[in-house]
Amino acid sequence: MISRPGEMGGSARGPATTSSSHAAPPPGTLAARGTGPGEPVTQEAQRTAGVRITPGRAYGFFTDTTLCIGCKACEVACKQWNNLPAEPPEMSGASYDNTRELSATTWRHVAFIEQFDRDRFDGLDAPTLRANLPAEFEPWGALTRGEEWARPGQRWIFMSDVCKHCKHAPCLEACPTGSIIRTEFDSVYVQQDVCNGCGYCVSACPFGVVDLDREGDGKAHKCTLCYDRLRDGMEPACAKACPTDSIQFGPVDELLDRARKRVAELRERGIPAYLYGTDGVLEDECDTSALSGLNCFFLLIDEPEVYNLPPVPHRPSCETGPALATGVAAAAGLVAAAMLAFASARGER
Amino acid sequence: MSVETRIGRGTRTGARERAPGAVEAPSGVGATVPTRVPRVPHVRRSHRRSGGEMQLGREPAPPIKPPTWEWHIPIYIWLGGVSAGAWFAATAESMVGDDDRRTIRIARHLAMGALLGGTGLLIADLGRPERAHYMLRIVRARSTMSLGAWGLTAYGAATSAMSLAQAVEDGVLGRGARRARLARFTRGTGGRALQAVGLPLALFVGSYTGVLLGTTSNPGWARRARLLGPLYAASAMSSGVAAVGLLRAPGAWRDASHAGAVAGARALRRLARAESVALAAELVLALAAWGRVRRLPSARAEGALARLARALTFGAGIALPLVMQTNEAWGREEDEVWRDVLGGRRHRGRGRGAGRGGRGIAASALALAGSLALRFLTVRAGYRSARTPADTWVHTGGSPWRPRASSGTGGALAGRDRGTVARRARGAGEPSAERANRRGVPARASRALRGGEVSGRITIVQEDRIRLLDAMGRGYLLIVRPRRATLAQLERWRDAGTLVRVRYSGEPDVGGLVERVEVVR
Amino acid sequence: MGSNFAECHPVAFRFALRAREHGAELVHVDPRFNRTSAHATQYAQIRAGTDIAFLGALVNHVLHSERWNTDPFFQEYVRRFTNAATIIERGFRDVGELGGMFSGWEDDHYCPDTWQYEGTQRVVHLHERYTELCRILSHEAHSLHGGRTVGGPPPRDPTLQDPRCVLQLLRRHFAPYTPEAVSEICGVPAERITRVAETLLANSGADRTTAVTYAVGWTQHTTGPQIIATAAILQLLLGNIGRPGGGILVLRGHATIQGSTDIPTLYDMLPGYLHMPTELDTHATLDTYIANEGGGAGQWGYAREYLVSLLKAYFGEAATAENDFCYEYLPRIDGDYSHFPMFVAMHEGRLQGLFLMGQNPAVGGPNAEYQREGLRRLRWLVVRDIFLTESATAWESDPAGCDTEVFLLPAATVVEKDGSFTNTHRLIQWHDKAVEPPGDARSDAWFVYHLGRRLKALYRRSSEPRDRPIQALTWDYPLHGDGEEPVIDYVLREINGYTWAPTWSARAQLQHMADLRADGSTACGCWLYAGVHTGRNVAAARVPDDYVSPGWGFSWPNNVRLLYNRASADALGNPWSEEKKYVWWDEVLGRWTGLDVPDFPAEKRPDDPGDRDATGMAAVAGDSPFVMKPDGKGWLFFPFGMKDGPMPTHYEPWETPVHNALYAEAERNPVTKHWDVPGNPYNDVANPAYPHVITTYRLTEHHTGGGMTRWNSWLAELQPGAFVEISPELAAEEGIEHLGWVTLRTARGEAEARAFVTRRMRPLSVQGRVIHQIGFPWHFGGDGIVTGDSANLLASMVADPNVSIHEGKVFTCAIRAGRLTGDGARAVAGAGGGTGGARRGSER
Repeated sequence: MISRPGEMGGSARGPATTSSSHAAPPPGTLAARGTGPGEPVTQEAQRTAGVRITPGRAYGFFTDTTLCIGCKACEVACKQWNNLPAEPPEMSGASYDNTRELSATTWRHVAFIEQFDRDRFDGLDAPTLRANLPAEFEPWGALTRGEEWARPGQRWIFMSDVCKHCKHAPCLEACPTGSIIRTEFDSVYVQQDVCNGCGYCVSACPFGVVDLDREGDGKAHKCTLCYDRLRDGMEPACAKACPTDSIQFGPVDELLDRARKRVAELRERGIPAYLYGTDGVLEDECDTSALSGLNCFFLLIDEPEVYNLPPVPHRPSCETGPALATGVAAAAGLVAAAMLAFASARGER
Repeated sequence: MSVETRIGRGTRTGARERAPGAVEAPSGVGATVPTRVPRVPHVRRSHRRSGGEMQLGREPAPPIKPPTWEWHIPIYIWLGGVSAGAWFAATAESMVGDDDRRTIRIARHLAMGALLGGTGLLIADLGRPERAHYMLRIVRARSTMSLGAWGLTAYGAATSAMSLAQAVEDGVLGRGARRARLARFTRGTGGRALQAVGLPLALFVGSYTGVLLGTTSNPGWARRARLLGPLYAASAMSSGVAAVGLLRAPGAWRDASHAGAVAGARALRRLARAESVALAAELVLALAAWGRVRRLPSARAEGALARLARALTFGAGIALPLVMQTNEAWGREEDEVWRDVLGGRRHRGRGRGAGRGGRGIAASALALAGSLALRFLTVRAGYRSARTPADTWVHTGGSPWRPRASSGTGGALAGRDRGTVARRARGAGEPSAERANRRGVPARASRALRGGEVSGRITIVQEDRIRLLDAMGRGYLLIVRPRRATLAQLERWRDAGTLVRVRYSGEPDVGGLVERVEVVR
Repeated sequence: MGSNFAECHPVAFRFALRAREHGAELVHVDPRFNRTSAHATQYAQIRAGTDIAFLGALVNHVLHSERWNTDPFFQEYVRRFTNAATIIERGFRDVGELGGMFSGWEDDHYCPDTWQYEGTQRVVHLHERYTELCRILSHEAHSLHGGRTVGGPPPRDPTLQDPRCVLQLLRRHFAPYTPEAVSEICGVPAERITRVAETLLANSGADRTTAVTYAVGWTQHTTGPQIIATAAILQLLLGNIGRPGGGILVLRGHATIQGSTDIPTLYDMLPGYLHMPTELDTHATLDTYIANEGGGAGQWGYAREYLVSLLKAYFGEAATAENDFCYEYLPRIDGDYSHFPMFVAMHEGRLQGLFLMGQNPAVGGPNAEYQREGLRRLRWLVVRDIFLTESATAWESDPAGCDTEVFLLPAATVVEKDGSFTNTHRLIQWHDKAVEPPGDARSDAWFVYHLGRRLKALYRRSSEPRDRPIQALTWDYPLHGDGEEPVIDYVLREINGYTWAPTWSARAQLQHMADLRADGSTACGCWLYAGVHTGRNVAAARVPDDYVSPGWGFSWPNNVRLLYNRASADALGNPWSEEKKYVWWDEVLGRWTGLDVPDFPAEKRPDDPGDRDATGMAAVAGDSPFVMKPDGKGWLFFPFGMKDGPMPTHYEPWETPVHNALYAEAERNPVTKHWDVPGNPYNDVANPAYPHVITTYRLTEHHTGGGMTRWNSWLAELQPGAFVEISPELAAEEGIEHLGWVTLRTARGEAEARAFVTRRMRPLSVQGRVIHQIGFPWHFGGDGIVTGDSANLLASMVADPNVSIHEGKVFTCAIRAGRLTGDGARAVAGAGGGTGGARRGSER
């Protein structure tokens, strides 16, 4: 322990100067180097998420539920950045989930799912594990081993839910005022100065995300993918706050590659993981193709319902045309019939 | 369903006095020592569907949000229907009827009045009524409400025009050569033409409301998206015609002249026939629509009261008036009326007419009420459905994995439904749950601070917007017009972390406007 | 074990998770299945307070495993680096022979004479003085810590066969800890224990290492230090100390708790773990103090340098060689001033004023009602906190009868002041002020500095000798800002140390611990921290790399990231394996080198025998990595230092539902500190009135006493009230409903909370009985947005003998459905009844 700096083996590796860490950042991180038109000048995201934010590219979240520890940092970070009021404290009793749902004033929600059977925690050997894999996971029925934390019947799983920023967003398609728009980052954004609180988006959303702040300003609110932060080259608050990288922010295409690698790796380890929110091109991915995929997608290890997600979400606006047509057509037919009946009682002049 | 869940739900196994060191399991819950027990198959099922199965306490919140619409909407839909039906009556009367002016007058004014009322309710239901006109900012083909808004506007214009024209005809707006010419025009072919042109609009307004509900993610509605349109069209026609009939009837009896009496009787008869046709269609469609949702868990879990309500609506609201009106419209020979009238026994004729008219009135009233009840039933079904997670599982069901996804909500699903239903129906959707959860949610602080002065640092600048962070860490999203401060200035202040004092009007976050900016330091 | 890593240290847990994702085994042993267990690859639900038994079983398994006895790595590591081969005194008797006691018991304490290495004696002081000390200090026998070992060198048996060598003693000592026997104590299935042991064994060796993390789940026991000692033995046997990826990591509960022990807020410590002088003549003068506290072999051989530099920092000009550098001015301990005795003293009126800075004993103190009563009996109380805590409002329960004058001073939060954190891995990281504190809120440094300044002013004219210290005290930190905040950077400079000069401008920062001098030419606030501010603030350095990252902050000592890292090379100084290459001997350069700063004299050859007659590092042999120990070996057996035995052994918790399965005579730790005062009764052993085991814990959503979180609506909404976690089986037994109210009772009092029935809790089988465990988070109190009863209303004041830490993690209680009745009905607000939900999170 008594060894002078001169003598110490790793003297070259001694603490570096403060200035080098504060004044001069690693090249290219904060510099305006190659800043394209409309591109934020500062790129904090490049440091925090290794992402350079460029308008015109699709950004989103990849939420890996197998890494979520349920710390709720994302919830708090979201409320703090977006300055959202707290709900009145109420103990829900649904595990540690006292937030319970996404709402106009809660844009991140961590779900807690306790799955324990009678004799819990005692080890399962491989055959039993196989026996315990849900039938739906048959595509990977050949699994031979898994890890305790992911085993059905004795696990506690967490998932941080958020607006999915659908590629074909039902809320956006429903919005009659054009308040809901698609931003240059391909996120779905509610313009507060346009929304008139008609509430149609609320019924249109297949995930129960957007809602009216009835007690508040009476308008529709939901996750903005931290539009204001993206504009300033910062990654969304929740992703930045997530300690375990369960929430990963980035360009959707890159995230997808990452996610698919992750799924493959987990299946290697015997964990029946799959992606929810892709366009469902792969055999074993959950089918959200009706919305042509979600910019914010999830890696799950149990069925979607377990996470309170609709297995195969529909796109309501597909019905608009046909339904209206049938409506008017039927009405026309009816009119014709009624007119006949009407005419039949007509007296001669 | 496990014993623990029962404890969670309240029924308890009686507490027994406990001898310390008792080895045997208390109350057979399997509080036995955690030795290895071979896993039984049912566990395999039980852990599957939801945390709720093995997790105690309240079920997770429903996966979709209930509609935000209150009583306004069903009544609006009904009034819109009445209006459309009335328009039809006017059109029919002027084109294929005897052009009974009274009927037409009533119908035109009714079409306008009902619509006016309905639109009022519609606006009142908005979260921000003062922004109602924003509905006309854009046209969006995929948004039923957007199309509806435009349709409504156009139809509104038409109804107002016709009711105005009617007023001119009646000389309510005074008389004069020009007005007389206009009146002649509207009374004649011109009127018919206008009515005919407006008819499609009326039909649209009468039926789009059903589609509006249908094209959502709400299983209670979406399951029958293509039936609600026709159903509402039929209901619109029945209620509209019924309303016109109701208003026409008194005039018909009170009429002193033969001709008038006859015309009135005939007019009522025509209306009755149209109404019975509409009612018939309504009945068929209503049953069909019900058939599409009766398998939904929320429908299965319905209480006796709800069932009674539906029975009454269908029975007393549609079927009964149908029978009565049919009888009224086709029941008796044409010449009977003649004999009554020409025989000069007017009092008798009137008496009988009154009797028959009475039945007609009752039928129309029932039909009118029935169609209102129908609207409430549908909307309420949406609420229930939204609060029943299982509905969504069924609606969006089918194996989420592509191979089976193609089979959609096919046979493979049936089993899934039952399982899910049984499980989800339990404890799902206490009606007050959502509302209780939101009661007393504090409004944004910024809302409380409507207008005023605040000093802080600018954290974000985007185009004409800034986010100001005050000393208490509260954020204010405000709009700055260039003449107050240029973008360059704002950005400079943001970067320099300058402390600025801002006077603003309106609400921050919701379009509050900056009146004055000054640099503090 | 003993830590809820994911919930209480979520940010650090990212690394544990990452390890799991790279195929590491993550074993979690805990009374509750919590968010950490949810991510563990192996989980064992253990009866609270039986950790030594569990670890003992692991040790026993390792000692008898075929691999451990054959693998050359284990053999060499243990033979060369630990005291396994050392022979112990003939007179030593183990617990097995004396029914739960070690030899050397003297009616109320142990005398460690028979625990010594053969041929060495422990020179403490005259015997009567020793007993007097024990009386005065109520078992705070410091001198056991210091003192001098004479004689030796002790004989060693490299074959490890001698029946009196440490390894053989160990084998005999842990023989009873078979999986079967232990499973009867812990309630963990035997095969599960074996599986954990196998996992540890499989993941230790030349090319693999295993790390153990713990937190207050281990420390808050009457056997806390002994639990950690057992882990140390296990890790030493497995060769996991001083090697990358190994070690025993204490997860500190708050930011810079580690710092508050390095530069202690403890009454019996001076900065850098120097002992506070006692009244005894052994500490009478600087020389006797040094003679008894250090001066031997190893790092403590430089005690004089450390203390003199410290005194110089304290008293500057006034401290000269002539006056022993003002050693006189240091206060002398004449009794036990740890937390509990202070509150006892309040009850007895011996303590009349109290400063509470960032502490909330009314919620966080065991037997909270007793602590509140103590506060109510004070004459004056100063509370510095960011909210109006329960400690500041304790008087409200009895406004008439309580004449305490309470001063509440608004404090600045961490983001509102500069400063540094010292965390788990001894890493000192600087943080800058982010925002100005609101209103009158000021930093603690501001308060202490100006308090000191005014005191000095008050005493300026005094001629009383007793006022000399305060007059001599150097108090010359520069101020800045209109708030006159002291510049914290200069405090760090002083901690680092400088060559003495009257003015800052003339002072030169020390570069290295070795620059410390005993002649008064250097001043240093804490010898361990030397090097943290070498003219530039090293703690603020932020240069990461993908492995050791020596450029990130500063870790004491000398920026060594891994203590005792000389053990990462074998006896000859070669790395044990390629994978675990870390620090090694470079023959060419003739010095230790590697990825880290060697925690060893850089040029001492591996084969250096060490100079027996010298003191300090010169005396340490080249194959003795553990430089804090006089013999440089890792201790599997503690000749001195522990007050409750040279080897850990399973004692039941102070309050327990079952009897000790191992020893009928001594069921509980015989040296346990307990206070038999009115208001602090105990549930005795196996009392049928209190059949259940209760353990307290923390939630991610709240922080300790809740002083920082319960007033924040954003956090409050996440955990809106007090609840107890119980198993469905217990719920069925007691007729408790999920979310219904329950009342828990101990001899101290009652507390109510909502019942949280969950299968994450599970009854255990212990000695043929079904034992129910109850979990109770202790964050809650009567004030704030969310309120509830604190678990500490139930806990008792009982502490371990070595470091006076209370037993908060296990005691017994009774539970019944229903709410408190009568005057007990305090927390009517209860769970979820919070009224302040409407307040905004950003409010103060």
